[in-house]
Amino acid sequence: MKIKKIENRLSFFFLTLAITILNIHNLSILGIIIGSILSIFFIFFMEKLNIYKYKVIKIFLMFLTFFFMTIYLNKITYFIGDNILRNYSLISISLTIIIFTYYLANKGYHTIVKVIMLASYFIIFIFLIGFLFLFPYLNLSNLNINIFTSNNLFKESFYYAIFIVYSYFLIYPLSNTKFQIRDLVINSSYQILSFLSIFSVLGLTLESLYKYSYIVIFKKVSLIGFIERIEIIFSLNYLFIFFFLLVLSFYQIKYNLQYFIKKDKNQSIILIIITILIFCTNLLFT
Amino acid sequence: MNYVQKIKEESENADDYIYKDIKLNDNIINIINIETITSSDDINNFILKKISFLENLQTNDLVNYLYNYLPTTSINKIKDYDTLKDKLLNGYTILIINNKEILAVETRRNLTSGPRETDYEKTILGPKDAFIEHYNTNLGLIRRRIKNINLHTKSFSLGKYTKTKVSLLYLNGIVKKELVNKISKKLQKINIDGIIDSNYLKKYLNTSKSLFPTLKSTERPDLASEALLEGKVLLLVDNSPEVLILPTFFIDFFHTSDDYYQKSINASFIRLIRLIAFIIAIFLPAIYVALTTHNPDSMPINLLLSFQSQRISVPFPAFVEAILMIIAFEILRESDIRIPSTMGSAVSILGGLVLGDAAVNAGIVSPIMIIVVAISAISGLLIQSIEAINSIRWYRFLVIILSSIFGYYGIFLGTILILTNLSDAKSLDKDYLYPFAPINFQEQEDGFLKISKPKVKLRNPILSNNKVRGK
Amino acid sequence: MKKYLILILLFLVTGCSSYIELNDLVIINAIGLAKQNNNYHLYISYVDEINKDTIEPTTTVKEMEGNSLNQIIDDLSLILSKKIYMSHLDLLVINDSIKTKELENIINYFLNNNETREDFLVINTDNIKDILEQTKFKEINDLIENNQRETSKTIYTTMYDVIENYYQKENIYLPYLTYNNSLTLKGLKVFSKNKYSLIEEDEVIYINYLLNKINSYKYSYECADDKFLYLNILGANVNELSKELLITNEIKVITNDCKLKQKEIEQIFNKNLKDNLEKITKKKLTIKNTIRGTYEN
Repeated sequence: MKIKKIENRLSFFFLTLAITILNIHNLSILGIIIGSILSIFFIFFMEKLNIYKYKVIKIFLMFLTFFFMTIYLNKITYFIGDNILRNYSLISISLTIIIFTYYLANKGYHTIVKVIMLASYFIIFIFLIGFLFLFPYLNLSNLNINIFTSNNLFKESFYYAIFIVYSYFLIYPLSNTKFQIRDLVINSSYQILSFLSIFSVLGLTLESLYKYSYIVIFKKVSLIGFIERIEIIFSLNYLFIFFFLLVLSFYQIKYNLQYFIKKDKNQSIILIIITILIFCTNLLFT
Repeated sequence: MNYVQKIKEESENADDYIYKDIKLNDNIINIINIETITSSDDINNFILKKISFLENLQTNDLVNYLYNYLPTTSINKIKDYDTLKDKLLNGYTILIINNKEILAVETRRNLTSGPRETDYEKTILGPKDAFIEHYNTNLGLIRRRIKNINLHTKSFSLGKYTKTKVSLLYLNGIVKKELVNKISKKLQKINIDGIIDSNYLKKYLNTSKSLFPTLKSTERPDLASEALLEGKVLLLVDNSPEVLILPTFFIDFFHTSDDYYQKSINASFIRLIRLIAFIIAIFLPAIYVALTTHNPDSMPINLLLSFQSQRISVPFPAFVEAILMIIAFEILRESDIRIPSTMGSAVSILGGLVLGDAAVNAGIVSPIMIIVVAISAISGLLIQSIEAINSIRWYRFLVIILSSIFGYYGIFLGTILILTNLSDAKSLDKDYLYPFAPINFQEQEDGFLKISKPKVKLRNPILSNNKVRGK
Repeated sequence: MKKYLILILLFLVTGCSSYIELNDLVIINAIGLAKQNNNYHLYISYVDEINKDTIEPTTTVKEMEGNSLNQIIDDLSLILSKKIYMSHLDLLVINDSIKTKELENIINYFLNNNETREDFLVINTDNIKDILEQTKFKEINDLIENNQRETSKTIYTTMYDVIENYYQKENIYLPYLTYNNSLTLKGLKVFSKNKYSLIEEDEVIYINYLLNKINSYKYSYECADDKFLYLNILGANVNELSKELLITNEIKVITNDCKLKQKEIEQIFNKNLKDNLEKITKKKLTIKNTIRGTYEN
């Protein structure tokens, strides 16, 4: 059975969402809009040149992915350590998550996409419920002109464009599907929506104070004392999305390695990569 | 070669082998049969009685004469010794004429009774008959439901010693031929001493590493017929009351045959209940362990205080308590299966009521733990397949261990493991989780929900090219 | 085999460092904070014992002293030899000695502590110890919640509001409670410019107008001797424009002894509202009303 387009689109959606959320303090709404227009140009330019077939690009992508992975592994480790497992040594968290990443990435693209598809039933359901719960807490007076403007618009839009192009490379060339502008429009509008809801619930001041404002908004939610303290479910939800970002990045490295190194040596190279990753995330960034 | 002598030698004069010699004019007819599997009435009426009328027969070609004369449809001319043995062991009576030509007449004795009632796949609505240990009866039960010439069978004789009859059953025109060929090839490759039951074949047809079963066996003819109409293949094994359905998807374990005999809204509800029960069965003890040992902040204060007050006198950590209770439950369940049903109620009263109550009063386990394990255990029994229930058990242990180490993060890791395990599984190269991953919205109308009246009812596209099922 | 080896090694290495049994937690449900002679006085109310049948917790209040919040809480953990568990904190009680510097300390403590949620109630009082010892959180919570909902004479302030107002340099409003054999609500304490000032209960309504947090409240007016006009204001919506406040009230007439007409009722009500609001804001006021109930046409 072939993987259909919808699975790839969904993976792309989760990837961009994960990257946006992890970089929430470096982005703004206007930046997202300009960045997505920029990224459309980038992607079309690259598709025209069929850039993915060059070996140089593959090597470059591998290093880029590696670079991004160290950053994101670090961020995700801190996310888990701060929100789910307090008092736990960070190195064991990053070790477990990278082992599970390796386990899933080893199963191949089809299995990864199928796991994403399965998890998406849960993730989308939880997000819908989240928005429903948040509805009474939306305070439209918090939405003023300040949330659109930003000091560093050029940097933000450029960041966003890079994120989109990066997630484009994790999905589309590997699955041989054609990129459509519609996918990007849906993703960016969802991200703008989530930005708006975060700002609307917390306000600009509180949003900038909290490291995990996308979790804190759910801390406010309680339904007449009956259903409360549901933020852990949402943090698990985000964790799924972050995990898929790691898995697809890891798969990208693994897939491109096959072009340069024979298969039997592949495993040990990947183990070395994991070790360096753990080292980088835990020692360089702290 | 003296056939009679050879059989006597090879069977070492087994005492249920009957030899009888009849002299008919110039010809000698040796009659051989095995008493225990043949019907002596049939032999007397259709063979011996008829032959006794032939005393004055003048013919040169006695074999052909007998072939046409004996009043039975199942009579074969046999050329070689191996086939002779085969037929003899299958309940045929062998007539050896002048030690040259051989006839085999079917005189099999009916060793089993008629169809029995369903035993472990019980439903309220719908037929109650079940497959039995007799190949022809089982085939008959299906043929009675599908009266179509396209219902084809493909037979194999498997097992070096048992020579068990195994046959593939499929509806020509619906099924994809590659599937039949693939299964045939796999069956032909089997090299085994004997096949005692259809479940023996599972490990040869099953290549997936998944803990969850990728093949389903059923005792219900209605379920089997439904599977044929979907484009699946049945595997009938002689002497086995269970029929294998190939391929099987994950969703099949959540469907029962009476889902189709009632209103779809009720069927949808009960299927969702099964899904929820499946999730509860795997995750509930783990969530409890995670809540009480790593993430108490995620429960309301009243619940936290209630848990805390119940756990004051319990000497074990929550994880040990959970494992103890689950093992106790497994012991109870196993003892319930093994002992005779007359003693079953005594065991369940003693084990469930007396021990549980006493354990709580003695302060060994907390009441909430008993509730958690009981709900999880009962939820796990909602699925009809024993193998599926057993796989739930392993998943449950896995998630509990992970959650006791990592709390909610462990549950997340366990979920990833389970999802990967299920996504990676294949049933005869078909995606096990179809139609959920890869997604097919059309098929999901009969997934966890059942949509009442789709305009055109379609078959599963990965099972059949003959798409339209009904309008 | 390698796979399992790695997993087993992993578990041995990590060693379940966040594993904690429920009975090893000290559940703190309220904190009182005051400052005396450059030292913090921390009153900590924690769950000491739970009645097994009714699940009714008995709380104990402990008084500690130290120069920072972190240090006091660490000390407490040593004294009780259990893990301090703040995630279910319900109440923070402070008095007038807590000023900007101390507030910043508190806010920093909670912002940097991922275990806590900042949705707990913050109140101001003069006798912290009595309130923590003699009353239950539920009493205080119900008192403030009901008052806000029914009379609009107080504001339910959570730590979120405190943090937000603190960083936006706006006024911080805290419910002001006293305990003198019984719990009473005495209006609001406003913290601005490093100073607390008291607002009487009746004035709180107009503060609520400015904050657009008005719920229902009652208004009475003596139109003649022993004859009253009772109004129940069901709710109000305030739109803040740059130089104008647009107020829409929804009013229900309960008693109308003088048989006033709709216009007269509106005039009386609007005048009162305008008089009071003009004391605290300089913006232009536009008031619109929808009136339901009995009145003469």
